[in-house]
Amino acid sequence: MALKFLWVIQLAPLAAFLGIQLLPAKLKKIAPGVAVPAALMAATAASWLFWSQIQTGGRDLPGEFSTPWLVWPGRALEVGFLMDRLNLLMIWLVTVISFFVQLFSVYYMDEDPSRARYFGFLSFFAFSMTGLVLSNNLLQTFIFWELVGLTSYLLIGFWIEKPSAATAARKAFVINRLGDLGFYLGVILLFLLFGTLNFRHLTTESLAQALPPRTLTMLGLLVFTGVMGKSAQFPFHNWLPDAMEGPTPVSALIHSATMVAAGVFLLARAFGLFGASAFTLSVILTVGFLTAFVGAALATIQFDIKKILAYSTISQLGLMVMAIGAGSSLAGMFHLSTHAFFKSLLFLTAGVFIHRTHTNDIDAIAEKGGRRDVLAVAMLVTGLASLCGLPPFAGFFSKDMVLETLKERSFLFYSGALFVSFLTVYYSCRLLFVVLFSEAGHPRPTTHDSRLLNFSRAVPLVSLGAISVVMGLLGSPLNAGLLEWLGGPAEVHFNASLFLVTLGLLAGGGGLAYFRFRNPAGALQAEKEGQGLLLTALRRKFFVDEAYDFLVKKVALAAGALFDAFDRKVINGWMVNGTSYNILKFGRLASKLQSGLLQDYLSLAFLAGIVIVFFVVL
Amino acid sequence: MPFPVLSSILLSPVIGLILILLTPAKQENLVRAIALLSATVTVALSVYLCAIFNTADPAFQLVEHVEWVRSYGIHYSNAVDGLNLPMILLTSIVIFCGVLVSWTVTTRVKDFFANMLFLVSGVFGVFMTTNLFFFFLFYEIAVIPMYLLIVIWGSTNKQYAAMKLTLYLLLGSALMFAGFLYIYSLPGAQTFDLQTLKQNVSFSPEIQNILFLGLFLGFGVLAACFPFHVWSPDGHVAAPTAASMLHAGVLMKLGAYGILRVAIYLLPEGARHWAPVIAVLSLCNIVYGAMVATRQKDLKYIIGYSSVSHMGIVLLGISTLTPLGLNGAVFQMFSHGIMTALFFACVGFIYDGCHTRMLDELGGLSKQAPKISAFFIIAGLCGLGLPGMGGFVAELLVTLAAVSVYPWIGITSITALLITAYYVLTAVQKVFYGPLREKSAHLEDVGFLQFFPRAVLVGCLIYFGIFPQVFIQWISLSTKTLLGA
Repeated sequence: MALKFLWVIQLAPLAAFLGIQLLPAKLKKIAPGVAVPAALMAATAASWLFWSQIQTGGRDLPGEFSTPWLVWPGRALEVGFLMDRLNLLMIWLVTVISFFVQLFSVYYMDEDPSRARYFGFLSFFAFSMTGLVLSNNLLQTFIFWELVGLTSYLLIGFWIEKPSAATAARKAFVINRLGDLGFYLGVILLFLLFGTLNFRHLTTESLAQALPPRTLTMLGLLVFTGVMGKSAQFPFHNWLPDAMEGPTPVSALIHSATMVAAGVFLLARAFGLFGASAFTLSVILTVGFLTAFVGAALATIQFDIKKILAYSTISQLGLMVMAIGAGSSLAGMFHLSTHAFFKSLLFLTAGVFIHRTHTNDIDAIAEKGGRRDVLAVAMLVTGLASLCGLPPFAGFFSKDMVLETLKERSFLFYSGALFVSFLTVYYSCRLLFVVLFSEAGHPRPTTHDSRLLNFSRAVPLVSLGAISVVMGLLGSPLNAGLLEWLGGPAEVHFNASLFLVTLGLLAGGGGLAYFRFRNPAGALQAEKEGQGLLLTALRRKFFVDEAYDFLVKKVALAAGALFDAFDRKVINGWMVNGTSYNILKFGRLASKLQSGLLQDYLSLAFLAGIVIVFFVVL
Repeated sequence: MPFPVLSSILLSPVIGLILILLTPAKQENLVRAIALLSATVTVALSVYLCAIFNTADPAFQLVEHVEWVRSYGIHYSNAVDGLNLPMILLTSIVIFCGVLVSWTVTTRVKDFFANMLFLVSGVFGVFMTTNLFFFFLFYEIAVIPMYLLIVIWGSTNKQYAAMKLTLYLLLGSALMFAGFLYIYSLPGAQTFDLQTLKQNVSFSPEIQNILFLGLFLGFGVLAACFPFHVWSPDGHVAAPTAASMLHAGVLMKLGAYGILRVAIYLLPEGARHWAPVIAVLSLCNIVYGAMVATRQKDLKYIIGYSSVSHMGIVLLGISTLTPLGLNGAVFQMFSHGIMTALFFACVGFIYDGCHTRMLDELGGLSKQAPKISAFFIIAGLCGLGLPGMGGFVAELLVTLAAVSVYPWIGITSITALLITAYYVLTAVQKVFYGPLREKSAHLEDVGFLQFFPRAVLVGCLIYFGIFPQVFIQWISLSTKTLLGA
């Protein structure tokens, strides 16, 4: 019974996508009317399913539906659904955020002539993402993994006339592909060596029985490279800030809450594989830390509100990956859940600012009176408070859990994560103070949005804001229930020392930001023009883009040029055309024998005679 | 006698050809209609053939045998099995779409469609026959019209390309024919019938090794095996749209099909001897072809080199000599045939509208012509191995087989996924994204007539990408028999 709901969740968005494609040109403008109800349907089905399973204590779990997809003598690949606690949470989160973002898009994309294409792609994304989450085996995950990558590509490049958007889209796809090479190879090797890709069989015990430790380490690391691409882990992180070229609701849905979190989800989903090797876990932990640090550090110097949020997403993804690397997929998934809500809230808020002021620059947003939108400012504060881990917002609990996990694993990484949290508070407060404290210039004339537009703007903001608050409230059913649901402790014990540390971080980061940004104009100017070594490195984003440029242009494309020259000069020029040239030349030479002149023939005969005599005599 | 489906498929273009020859050249629409009708009949019959194909019988089915020259063992005999069924379906789909796409051809319409149908009847013949003599005969029939199609209706350096292509293909067929004659001369042979040869002739290991090499080179030229691939990008570029579709979609598959049907079938030991060499050459195809494609500036050359790269996947699958690898190879032959036909159908349309194919001169097309852009991008996505389309399934099967037989070659071949993504998306970005360029401004999007054939091709790509088992169950019947497993 419960499994039937999965079909609704999976197929409603696909039906919306196909429906929008089939709409005749004149009716294209009603595309949101197709996409949003479908998203609502999926979200309702997922919420009902999630809720009913919580009520019954997971009576129908785990449930599986599986059917062979590709069969050849001796082997088979399957497709199917797996429904358990982990992906039920994830599917609920994905469908609910997807619905709110699509609703918000009705407001945000109201004037865009291509919104049928936009809503079609969003629906296709929802389809692919649910497919990824519900999949019961690693190959199917890979299939939908690539499809969400495609929708990400299409939506980053949504504004096709913008060359920068097209470049960013290609960059996102190609860097993801780079990570996916490892993932693909990992899937292939795992299938060849282990015989099945079904998640229920990928347990640490059975893997350890079947395969030697070094192989397991290799397989885990290969699959992890896919995670690094999709979840924007260092050094594959640099596509994500560029991905902000897409419409802002897309950033909220795909590039913060769901798709980029898919890597973290995969780490939890196939934890049996990663957990089978201590070395793999330490690599994951290290990469997570580097990412968390690089993201947070770069977020402190951005002037584009979406870039601040993008680097913040990178950093938070790093924290989740760290938690899983430290052995707790519970903490990682918990932080993923809270982050999904507050970060999509933050992006939608940024969307309101951008829509109102027509700029991404925080300085300009402030100057054009961004702070006069009370709802948006309230939501900005809510989201940032959660991001900083201010109690009792959702982020506080999940971040504390991550920190606690790290503390038990290694003091070094724990202190690293504390530093990252400090930076997080700093850049969050920087953003807030710039928006609040800057001189607001001329207030824009108030816009007269229709009731529908006001509704589609306010409802998602308020709902996501409310979830961001409630999810964290201690004792609120969502908080305790969520943890228990994932197999965590039934009661969250209060960790006094950690609580004090958190307060200290908040005071320190907030204080520093306040000290610097009481008067934002001067401070921003200094950041833009400062010459210090650290500032330059931060502004140049640690030279990662330059390194990629070098690899692509000086190594890969140069090799391509070499091969191209070989093809034209050696194979075509020398071998093929050379052969034909020589044949022609020989033909011309030989044709001289037939000159038709008697004296030529006679002298030739004479010459031949001499040669013959010469040979006969000797 | 049951209804001769195979001969009907073969005769349908022949009858169309005769009717076209009888039609006055001024009746252009009648000529087009006849061509379309005979192409439609082949599609309908091919689909019918798939429906009546017995998926439990690994032997040759629906055998049609007419004795012709008994003393030399030259018989007209056709049969279908899991290997050629997908190829027959592919050919009929491509010619059907090719005829529709060529609706806009206006120069020497009668000659054009006559050549198309002549070519395709040769292709059908090669795929169906089980007699080596007819194999060679049909093969030659397929090559000659291609020369005319390129020389008369082609573009960009067409004389050079047509001559190069024809010489290459004739070189291949010369090697092939020498091999056939040598087989004929062996003790116990004295026939051209494939099955009889397989049963009666015992090839010694040395003979197998030499003969396989000869046949492989002959067929390999046609399959664009490195380093004999250079005829193919030039030919692709010069040929008119529909001829490019047939050329890359079907003609190149003849070579790979010949390797399977004749060389591996008759000479399994020789195949085993040379398999590692084929694997290395195919890796060159895959990676080298993709690398060269990154440097091309003409849209058609990009697709030409991508074909070289994708045919490498077919050869890599063949070189594994496992049922899985051969399944993947045949699947790739089908899916690449459809994909590349779609590619050329789109590029041809763009070239007709913009009068250029250079990446630097195009731009912003997707705003101007969203439908044709979507078709091209879908073909590109299939090319870069996006799941949900045929190319992914084929590459998955071949990679699975290759990694288990030649681990390092298999692993290296995966890098092509990255390179392909790079050059496909770069081309897409330059042609379809960005501000509208001057040369692109006059392109009008496809109308229904031009929409339909491309939509059919897209439908095939997606359908067989999602439900690959339909083909795999046919193909694996024959690959198992072929490898004697």
